[in-house]
Order: sequence, then structure tokens, then C-alpha cells
Amino acid sequence: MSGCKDRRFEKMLFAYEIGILPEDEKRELELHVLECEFCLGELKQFKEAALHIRHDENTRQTIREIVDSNADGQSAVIRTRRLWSTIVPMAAAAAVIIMLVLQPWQIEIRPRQEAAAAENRLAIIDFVNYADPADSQQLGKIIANLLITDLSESHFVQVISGQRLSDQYEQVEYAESIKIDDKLAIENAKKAGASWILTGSILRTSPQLEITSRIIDIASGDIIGSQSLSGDSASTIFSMVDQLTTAVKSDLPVPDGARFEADRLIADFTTHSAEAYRYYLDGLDYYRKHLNTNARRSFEQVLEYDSTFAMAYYYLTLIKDASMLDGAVKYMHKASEKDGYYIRALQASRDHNRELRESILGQLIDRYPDETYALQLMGNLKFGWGQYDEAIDYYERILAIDPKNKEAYNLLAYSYSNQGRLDEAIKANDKYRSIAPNEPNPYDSRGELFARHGMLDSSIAAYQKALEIKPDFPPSLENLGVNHIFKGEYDEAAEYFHKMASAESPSVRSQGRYYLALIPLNQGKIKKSLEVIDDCMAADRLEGAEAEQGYKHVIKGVIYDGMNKTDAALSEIRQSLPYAGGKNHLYYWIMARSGNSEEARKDLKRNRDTLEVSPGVMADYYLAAGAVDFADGLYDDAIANLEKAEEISRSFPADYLLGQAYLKAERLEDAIRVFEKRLSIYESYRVCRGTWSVKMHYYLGLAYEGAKRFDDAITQYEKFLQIWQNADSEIEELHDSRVRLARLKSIG
Amino acid sequence: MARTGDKMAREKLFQHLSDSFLIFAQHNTWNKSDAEEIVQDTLMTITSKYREIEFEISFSAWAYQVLENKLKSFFRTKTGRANKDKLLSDKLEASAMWIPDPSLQRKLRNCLQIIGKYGNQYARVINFSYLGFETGEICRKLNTTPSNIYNILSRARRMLRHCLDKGEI
Repeated sequence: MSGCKDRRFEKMLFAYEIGILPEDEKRELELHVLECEFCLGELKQFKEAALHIRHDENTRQTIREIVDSNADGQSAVIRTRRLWSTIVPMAAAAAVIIMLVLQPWQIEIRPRQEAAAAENRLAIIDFVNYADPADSQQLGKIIANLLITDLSESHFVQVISGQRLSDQYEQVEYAESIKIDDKLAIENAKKAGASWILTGSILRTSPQLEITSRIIDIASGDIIGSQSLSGDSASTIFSMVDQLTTAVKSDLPVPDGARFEADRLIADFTTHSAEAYRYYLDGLDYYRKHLNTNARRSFEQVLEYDSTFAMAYYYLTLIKDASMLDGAVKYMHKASEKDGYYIRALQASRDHNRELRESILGQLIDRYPDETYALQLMGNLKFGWGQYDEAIDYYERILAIDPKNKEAYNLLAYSYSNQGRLDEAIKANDKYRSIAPNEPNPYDSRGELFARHGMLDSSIAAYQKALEIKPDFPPSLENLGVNHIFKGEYDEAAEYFHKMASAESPSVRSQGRYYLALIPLNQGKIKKSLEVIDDCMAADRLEGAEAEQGYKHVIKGVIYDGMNKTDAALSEIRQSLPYAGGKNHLYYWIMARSGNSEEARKDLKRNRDTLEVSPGVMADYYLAAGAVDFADGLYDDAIANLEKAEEISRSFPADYLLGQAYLKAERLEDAIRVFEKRLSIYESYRVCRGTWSVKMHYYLGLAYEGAKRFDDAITQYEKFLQIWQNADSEIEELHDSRVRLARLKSIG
Repeated sequence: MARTGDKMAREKLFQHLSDSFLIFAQHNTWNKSDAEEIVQDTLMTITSKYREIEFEISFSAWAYQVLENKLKSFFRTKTGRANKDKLLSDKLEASAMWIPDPSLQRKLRNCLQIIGKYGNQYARVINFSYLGFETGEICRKLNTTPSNIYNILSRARRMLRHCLDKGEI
């Protein structure tokens, strides 16, 4: 259950439970409960606690103690104020003393500021542009977003993002051209938990900008304040928003502190360029819809107009290039308080400091409890560590705040999937799809969920649906091609990869060419594959897409390693390192295989203490250590390390090596378990390791044979030989499997 | 569906009613056995009448009215009974009184204190309820709106639930 359909009643539950609801509201709520499973469930679950709070003398005493203890804190503030009011007239030169007194005062008052903010929620919706009904310049959206950013700096007001409200509009089938009337806006704001809503209009844009706005109290529907501004020749949209923010804070029934708190100019912590801001909003919109190519283009445009826009760098770090973070950090002083948290959290991630990242995100969530993106990042942190229960908690917290949050449903689905809970994963995806029926990503995610659980045909159907919506959606093109490779339908696979290879984005084109090389590789046509990869790399150089070379060197390394050409393999892996950002398990595997295991071990040991505590790197460390042990024939040690890798992050390479290690250690049932599991997961990573994926059939065959499950062994050898029926004849495993198959069949 | 004889639908409906009514009844009398008696009585009336009655309002609203009437009737009868035989009435009441759970007491104390560090507004509201004030009066005392009061309580409830489940905020 994702929440009560009418959040007004949900909010009244505790008031009901402690018995303070007026009779008419109590009756209304009880009638509602008769028809609301969610609210009834809430009352039932909390019943005993509520009874204690209401009737138990010990609990009542606790409540009184809390009231009394904070009452002491309040009087301490008053004493400090009196002291301050005495000092100020006495010593104009005693600025230091004033600051010392003021600072503790401000520190003490902070919890109350934020407690006040938590209850004072203001929803802001896009302004209606009467001067230009189509709002071709997006002024209505720009003003609203700037206001949200400006007011979010306040410690006395929590602002509900316009994005959350507009998401609710979208899923109620309103086209963008239709203006939402106030009543609907109020309803949606109420559902979002707002106390007030700010609506506004642009009356004129030339010769000067003229805007009006009003604040509506949600509970009563009364207008509690209205603002009207006319610009002059010196005005910009940013200066007008500054004035509007001041006016709004004056009209809101919030503590006086709101009027006196520090208030920077909005342009100082966003941008001075309206064009830049416009592209920024577009970029955010694309980013939220996972249209990263469009998002990247928009954020790049932002920097064309304002090269100091910190958050444009931030998002480009996520979707283009990690080095963009330097720009975000450099211009962080020009970001809002909230955005500063995000940049610092990303910086902590880059510095591989998990604790700091978690701490910063925690502070961000405390400061902005409704900030669903921060909750998502925290959830993702937990997800990355395989702490799926905690991740699920965070995603559910998002949904409690914003029941139409697409990303939360998407991530919830993946979390359930990783726990093996496919039914729940699909249900979460169903919700995602219902909220965003016209976006490709929900269907792409669905395809991935099915593929991870071995349902290849259902997966293909879902990806195809994604492409019906957006025919050039790269993830679905890639995934469909991969699925067709698994099915042995190579012409169909090639068709999708060719589409990628003619995409607009150079990196997608490069990936498309790369996948075309993987088709012969998966068929065991090693020589052909190497030729295609070399052509692919040449095309990258011609297009200036050198950044895409890294993974091609990797696959060449894997291929040469499979051919036992370890020197060539090592050379390729070394060439991939500048792109990979460091040595990974493949490097150490090939180092050990090429007779350099001592150096590999020294290097690993040297790095161990300085390794970041992040899931990806820790898992890779154990994988690397396990790979070196395996190459050296130390199978028990390899198993210990690879099992640790698998525990943190269940990955294809870990399972591939672990299964073989079990095989060598004659732990046949374990080998069977690992290979069976991995072969039931259809993921692109398998295809990207070409021969490893197909060879798993062979190794599984060996495991079955060792366990005397001869029929199963025959099946796997036949499968292996069928996939590699046209493979290069020199492949060792081919020969061996033919011999084994013949022997098993002769036994009958 | 329940009226047309669908057994599962009827069972589901009556279970929901029973659960809801028990909560409502215990809201009015924290004597558990009294509440159960009222609910039983109400459900019997509903069961016997729901097929025949032409509802002028919704079924839920009608069922709720039946409960309200039962509650009123119960309290009138209880007052009368108490006057007749106070000793017996006290004994009955004592035997069915709600008994606090020591383990939950401890957890609640801990969690309420943790939440109290984030602000004591919720505690102030609850404390006013102990003094018998309703929302309107509490709003005047705290110089705020009912909507704000509900928001304060709703947030505290959410944090409290999380703390009781997980042991932390």
C-alpha cells in the first residue's frame, strides 16, 4: 500500500488517536476509515502505542518531561536575548562580544527554526504567463523554480518542489498547454502536505516585466497575502524574484526570524543568465526522464551561457564525465545551500569516502526532510552495499512524501529483484509504468527485471515496447540486441546494434560498433571479432571518440587471454587502464596468468590499506585477489576471496571464476549452483565478456559430469557446441567438450 | 457484492467493519470488553438488516450510524447499571481494564525522548490533550492553525513508528 488517497485524513490520524479531533472531524475520519484500508491498517498497527500515549501514566510522564525539558531551553534563549539587548547599547566597538553572544543564540534557536520549517510547507507552482499564453520563453517555470530555490534557503519554510506537483498533474492526463486552475492546484498541494500554496501570473513582459502572486492557505482556502511587482529598466528576472521572495516571507505566517535571516541574491547562487537557467531546467527535465543524451546537451548549453553554473557541472559529472566534478567544486560557493550538500556528497563519493558521503546526505535530509532526491541517493548508497532492506526503506520514505515518484518505484523494483522477489519487483514496476506510461524507461526496466530472472521472451517484449515509445532509446536497443544474442538470433541482434551505430550521440555510435564485434565473439569466431574491434577502434579515432577506447582494449585483453596469448593480453589491459581510472580485477588476473603473480600480490597488498570503502572497489579488490589466487592454483584461497566479492556485489566475473574455483576444488554442487544461477541471468555484462559467458556451459557440463549427472552434462556440452558450431577450430574447450560428449553418449 | 451473496466479499467487508468498529469503540471506552460487546451487538444488527434495507446513504455511513446508536445506547445503559450496582460494575470494569505493556512502555519512552530532541512541539500538543483541550483551543494556545497541528502530529507519529520498528530515527 502506498498511502491514503486523501492525505488530509492520513495527517489527522494521530490527532484522532490522542483524542483531540473536534467531533465533526472525528466522525468524518471514522467514516473515511471504513473505506480506507491504509488508514485502518495504520490505526491497527499503532493502536497499542496510541493507547499507551493516551492512557498510560508512565508514558504521560515522559511527555511531560519532554515538554518541561525544552521549556528550560527556551528560557535560556530569553536570558541570552536580554543580555544582548544590554550589551549592544553599551559598546559599539564590542562587535566581537556581540557576535559571541549572537552565535550561541543562533545555535540554540536552530532546532526550533527547523522544527518550524518542518510544519511550514509552501507549495509553488509555475506562474501563468498571460502575456504569452504558450510561455515560449518558459518564464512561468523559471520564476517558479527560482522562487523555490530562493525560499529553500530559508530555515523557516520548507518548499515543496514544483516538480512534485507537476508530476501529479501529468499523471492526471493534463496536457502541458492546459492551465491548472487554482482549485486543482490547491487539491494537489494539499495531497503533497502543504500548508500554503503560492500561485502567480506574468501580466506583461515588455517593456517591463510585471508579475503578481498570491499565497493561499490550504486549510481555509483564504488568500493570506498577495504580491505585485513591476520591473524597471534595471530589473532582471532574478532581481524581481529576490523582491518577491522578501515579499512572500513577509506575508507568510512564519516566525519573525524569517524576515531577518540572511538572504543572498538569487543570481549569486544560481546564475545571472536567464538563458542558462532555461537550459538548466530543460536538462533537469530530461535527466529525470533518463533521456541522458538530451540532458547532456542541455547542461552543456548551460555552460555556454554561464561557465560558472555549479549544478550544470554536477549533472554532467553524472552523465558525461567524472572530471566535470572539478567545475562543480570550484563554483560551489555560487550554489544554493541545498545544492552545496549535493556537490559535497558527490565529492565524498569521488574521494571514496563512504562515511562522509553518508553523513552529508544525512545532514541534507535533516535540513530538507522532503528532499526526495537526497533520500534516493541515500537509498542508492545502501543499494550499492547490498543493504537492500535499508534501501527499500528509503525508497518507501520517498513514496510516503511523493506517491508518484517514478524513480523511487524504479529503484524499489531493482531492490526487490536483487532480493529475488520478482513479484514485488514487477508490482513496483507496474506502478512506475502507470505513472509514466509514455516514457521508455519503465519498459526498459521491466525488460531488465525479466532478463535477470531468466524470462527472456517477456524481457524482449518489454524492451520492444520501450522502443515503440522511443525508437532510438539506447538502453533498449542495447538490451534487445543482447537478448537476441542469447537466443542465437544474430541477424536480429545486428539490426539493433546497427541502429545504435547510427545514433546521434558519438558514444552510443561507438557502443553500437562494439556490440557488433561481440556477435562473432559470442559465436567463438575469435579472429573475426578481433578484426571488427580493430575497425571499431579506428572509427572511434576518426570520430574523435577516443574516450570510448577503454572497453575495447579490455575485450581484446579478454580475447587474447582466452587464446593464452598473455603478453598481448597484458598489453591490451595496460592500455585500458587510463580509461578505467585504475587497475581492476582483469589487470591482476592477467598479470598472474602471465607469470607476474608476485608483482600482482605486492601491488594488491600495497593498495589494500588505501582502498576506498565503497562497494564497487571492495568487491573488485576481493575479485582481483581471488583471480590471482586462482591463476596460481590456490583454489581454496581463491574461493574465500571470490565469495567475499560475491557477497558485496554479485557479479558475473566473480561467479565465473568462483564456479571454476569450486570445480577445481571438487566442490561440484557449489560449482553447479553458481553456474546454474549465473546462466539464468541474461545481462549485457555476460555478452561483453564474450567467450566467458559461453564457456560457462562447458564448465557447467564438467561439473555435472563430475557429479555423475550425465544427462545434464550432455545438455550443456551440446549447448556449448551448438553456440560455437562455427567457432574457430583452435579453441581448446571445443575439442575437449567434443571428446567428453562422445564418451558420455557412448556410455548411453 | 456482499448483498448478492458473495461469501468472500461479505467476509472481507465484515472483517473490515469489525476491525474499524473495534478501534472506534475503544476510542470511546478504553474498556476492551465493553468495546467488544458494542461491536458484536452492532455487527449482529447490521448482519440481520443489511440485505433488506434500502440505503439512503452509503452502506458505510449506515453501518457507522448503527454503531453510533449502539454507543449512545451503551453509555445510557451503563450509567443506569452503575447506579444500581456500583460494586459489581467496578469489579467488571477492573477485570477488563487495559493493562500497559512494560516492554512497549520502555520503547516508547526511549523513542519519544529521541524525537523530542528534534523539537517538542508534538509533546506540547499531546500534553494539551491530557489537559482536555481539543484542536481549536490548542491552536489558540500555540498560535497556529489546525492544519499545522495535524502536520506536527503526523510527522511525530511517522518518526515514532519508525523508531518503534527500527529502534532509531
